[in-house]
Amino acid sequence: MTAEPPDLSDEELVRRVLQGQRDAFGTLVSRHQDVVWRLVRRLAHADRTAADDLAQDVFVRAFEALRTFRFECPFKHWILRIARNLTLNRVTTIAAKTERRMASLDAPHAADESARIDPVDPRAAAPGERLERDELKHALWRALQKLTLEFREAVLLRDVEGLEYDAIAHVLDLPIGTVRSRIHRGREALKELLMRGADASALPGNADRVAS
Amino acid sequence: MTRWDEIERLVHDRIDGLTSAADDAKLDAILAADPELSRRARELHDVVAGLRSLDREQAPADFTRRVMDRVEATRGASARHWTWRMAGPALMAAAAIVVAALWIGRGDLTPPTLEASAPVGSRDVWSESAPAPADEKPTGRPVPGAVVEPNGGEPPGRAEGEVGLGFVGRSTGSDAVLDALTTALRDHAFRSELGDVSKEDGDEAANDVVPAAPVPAMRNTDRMPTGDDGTDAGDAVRVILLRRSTAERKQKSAERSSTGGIAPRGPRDPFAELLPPDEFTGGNGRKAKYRDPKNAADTAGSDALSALAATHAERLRDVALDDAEFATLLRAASDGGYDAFELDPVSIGTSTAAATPAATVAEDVEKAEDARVEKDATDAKEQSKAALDTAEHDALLGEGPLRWLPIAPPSATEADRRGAGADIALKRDQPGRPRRRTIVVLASDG
Repeated sequence: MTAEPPDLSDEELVRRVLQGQRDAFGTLVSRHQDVVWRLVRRLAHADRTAADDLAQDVFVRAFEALRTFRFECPFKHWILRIARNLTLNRVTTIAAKTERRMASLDAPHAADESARIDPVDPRAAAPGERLERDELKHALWRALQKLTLEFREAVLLRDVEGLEYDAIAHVLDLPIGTVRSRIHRGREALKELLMRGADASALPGNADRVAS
Repeated sequence: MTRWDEIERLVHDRIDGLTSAADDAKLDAILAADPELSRRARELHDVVAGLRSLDREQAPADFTRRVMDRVEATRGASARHWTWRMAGPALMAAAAIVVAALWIGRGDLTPPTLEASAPVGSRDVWSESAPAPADEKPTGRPVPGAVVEPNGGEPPGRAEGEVGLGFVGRSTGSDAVLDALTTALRDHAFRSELGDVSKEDGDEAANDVVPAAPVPAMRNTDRMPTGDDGTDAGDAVRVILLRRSTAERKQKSAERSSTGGIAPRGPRDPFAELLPPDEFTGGNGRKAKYRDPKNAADTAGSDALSALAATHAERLRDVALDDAEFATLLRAASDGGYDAFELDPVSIGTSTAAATPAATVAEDVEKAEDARVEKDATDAKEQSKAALDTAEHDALLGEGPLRWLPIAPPSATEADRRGAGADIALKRDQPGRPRRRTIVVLASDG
């Protein structure tokens, strides 16, 4: 499926797709499928099935619109912008479908995440710690889902996906100052949600770096 | 503003690694002196650290394969949907086509003025045309009727999966008329024409579900057809402008001067490729073929728009082009000294001006690969852009809410060359042909 040389840039792959080398698009998909999949899943609060469908739609839509890609930004930002916009367009339907599939909006994440085997992590040496960490993860996800969309997408892109501010500004089509503000306010809101529902001091992190 | 608010930005910046050593020292001093602020900063940092430690889920293992399967499937006849979100542009394009029929029917094919309705970026394109008299606006009432029932009350006999190539001889300059057309088309012609309309995206009622949980409010911009962000660019109506290139016009002018004002025979008229079939054979089952472009060059006048409309106006509505044919058109336009531009889909979505084109030829096509593109698309665009006079380019592309982006035809493969000039049957006779998006072509000979 992905016969393209692995060292080709995304932009070169786009050019090859436009020249008719469809396999190059497969390479693009494989490169970005995870981040797109995660983003649509978390933005839409979708279960894995819905996220899978939507993420596929994102790439199909991108393929159809690839001719409009003008190489003015990295392909990753472009595809994330498609993912974000398409998700917003469908978020109502996705939420409803997910609701129908699952007993509660919180259950799907707890269910399919608990069924997954986490990657090897030295911090997860003890079962007790593992359990505690899973609970914290779930608490974080639940809190994230309670954020308004504008804050959730900004925080997701920055703190979960690790995008820089300027990249987020392009994905969200917002001024960088607005992006910064939303990230800050989103984090604050997330903290407040967690403080109301749990002991934030139990969250992992190196607090010494800030508080020292 | 609290003190926390004041230092909040510094804390966030530190979390993001954006603080300088001086900032760090300042923040440390503040936090050390205030246990409450220090606690809040610690909490915030821990929350972010928690977010960054979350598992990064992965797409299913066979995700790429399934995407590529769908990509292949979209090339099939039934894969392309018209969604409600594209209804607006599609209606506008359909309305434009109908306006053409009206004006063609009036036998009035003089170049239009776009005072009220022309895309801003292309207004200069038409500036050489004589302005239309004010009393040439069609009245509102007869227009929708003429549109909705062009065949004596029967919906257009277009095959499933087909979108017509249309032609508009001139603009009405009347938004009211266009609105009336749109309204009429929405309930009748549009559905008759497009039939298989997918509601999956835009019409939540069609899903007959009420979300049990609150969902974020939608914003208008969320549904806006976009280009670079790609949301709906794949489905949006494309608006193409063909315009006699600056160099070509200068050359023609010079040649006229050198021949005492007699225009020499120029390159093959690009609109010859747009010419409708020479022959029809009866009714809705009629067949038609394009005329041979080589011969068309002999018959097309200098005013390609008028020639097109006068000879083939009615028939144009029944023709659809596939990608290769569209590529042929672009190449012919290029060979004939025309520059091609595409209206930025973003500006289509943000401006109603694009909805009231003047001279319009609609066709359908989309992917460059279907045209067997050999040449790098970006390089081709650059070449096209470079061919433009800078000032004119700026005026054309840079002003107003509409943005025109230069496009260039793909280079012809041997197969294309063999195919060029061959008879092209109407797509109505090929029901298996995939439905394509409509492309509205604003063509100017000026």
